[in-house]
Amino acid sequence: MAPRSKVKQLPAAVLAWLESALVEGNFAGYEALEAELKKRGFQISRSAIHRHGQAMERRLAAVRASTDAARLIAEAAPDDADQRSAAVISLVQTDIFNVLLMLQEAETANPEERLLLMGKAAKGIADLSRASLSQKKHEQDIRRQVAAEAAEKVEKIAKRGGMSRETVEAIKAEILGVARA
Amino acid sequence: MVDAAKIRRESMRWYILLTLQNAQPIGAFEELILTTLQGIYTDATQHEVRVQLDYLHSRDLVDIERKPDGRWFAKLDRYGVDVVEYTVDCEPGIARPPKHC
Repeated sequence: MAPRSKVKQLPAAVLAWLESALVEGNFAGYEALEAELKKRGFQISRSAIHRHGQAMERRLAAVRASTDAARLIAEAAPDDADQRSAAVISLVQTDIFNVLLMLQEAETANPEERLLLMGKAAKGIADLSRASLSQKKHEQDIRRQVAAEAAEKVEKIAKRGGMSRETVEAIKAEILGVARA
Repeated sequence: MVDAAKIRRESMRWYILLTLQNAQPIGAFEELILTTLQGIYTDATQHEVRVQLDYLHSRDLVDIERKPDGRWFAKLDRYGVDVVEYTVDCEPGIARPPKHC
């Protein structure tokens, strides 16, 4: 596990003040925040405050990326109506979002946990590819096609999310591997 | 004196609007909103999300669809988009940060 956030251990009132300051400042001015916290008797480093503010930004990026990916996947695998229903798209969006969060966590986890999280994430992607295509006649062929699409999308998304080249390649290999199984 | 509860609910409202802005044009299920909020408020609950969504709905910023399986699905409406994009003034009750040009 990543070390427990020092910021989250602050007393509720101080945390509330910090959060409002982060909102007000739109996640900027960490030095000033660090100095202000010090005045109040709390030793919290600039980078810890930055990480705290970043958690939200990273999640918002995952929302945006999973939304884009859900639409792209729907377009890549059109159904008979030529556009998947909004219901399916929003389900796919939620699944991809969860996978992306696992990937984000994997970035900071220790190697063993990282592997586990990446495996889960890859399985999640493969599952959602399968689920969203179960109505297809030629499921095998299309599953491979969508896995390739998904792998490509995930690569783009992961890159945008600032993940390392190595992580992206491992995820891609996992997705394509699971799809072939 | 810091009013922690007020800061929390008003910030949450802003974060919900931001989440839904990023989920445009689809919208988002409540669990996706909750997980996003938990990036800041680790102890946020589904009930809290619903209370704030309901408030945003009553202010005509968010459309809510109550799905047959009981889950809520939310989407920004036109006014919600205007508030997030700083096109219109934001009345008190939502912790919208000042605009950075």
